[in-house]
Amino acid sequence: MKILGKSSLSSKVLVGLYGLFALITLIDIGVISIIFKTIRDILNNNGLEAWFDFVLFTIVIFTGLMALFIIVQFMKIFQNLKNNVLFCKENTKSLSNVSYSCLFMAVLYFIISILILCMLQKLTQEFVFYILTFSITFTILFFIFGIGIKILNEIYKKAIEYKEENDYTI
Amino acid sequence: MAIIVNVDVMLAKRKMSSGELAEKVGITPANLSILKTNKAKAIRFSTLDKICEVLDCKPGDILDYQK
Repeated sequence: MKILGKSSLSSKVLVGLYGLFALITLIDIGVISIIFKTIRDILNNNGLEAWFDFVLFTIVIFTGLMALFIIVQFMKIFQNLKNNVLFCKENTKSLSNVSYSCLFMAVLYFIISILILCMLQKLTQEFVFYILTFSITFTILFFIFGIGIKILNEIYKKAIEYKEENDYTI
Repeated sequence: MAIIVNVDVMLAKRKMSSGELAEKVGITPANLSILKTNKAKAIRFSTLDKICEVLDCKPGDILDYQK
């Protein structure tokens, strides 16, 4: 199977990324409507739980925005792969952005975990179990992804350096 | 980099054009331009050997070192 160039695997992945972008945007819009509901609850003096929901869903929105940003960076990389531009500095910049975004996402999910732990007594046991497992897993996953992509980026940078050296060897 | 390539000086001395040298050495004019403008990161011994052969000179005539 052709991996690089037009009508290859990378171009199909690009289409998938467009779909994922649309899906996350829709989810984010849904979460925004929930945030409006929590604001209404806060205004109706529904107490600490409404504030908790507000902060939690605001962070979720941020994670959604970060996810969109990561997808855009991957779109740039796959667009370059589709155009057979493999070793360019633009790709390293995109990978660097992805790694920092992943680390930021890890921090956001860590904050969510802390928030849930703080509200432990206020929430139902089942809710705590699912969302805590989810947020801790995502914290670890995004941390590993962030570090992993940073290392891959350094390898990619070295590859570009070697390519340039090769190109400029007469 | 402190290494200076003086190919154009030798070309002027031998009254030879860049295109002619590139053709005789077997490199592209673009690569010869990279060499002349000191953008090259390295030069193969085989290329240096060919340039010296075509220009009838020594490597020291083409390459110079300036601090």
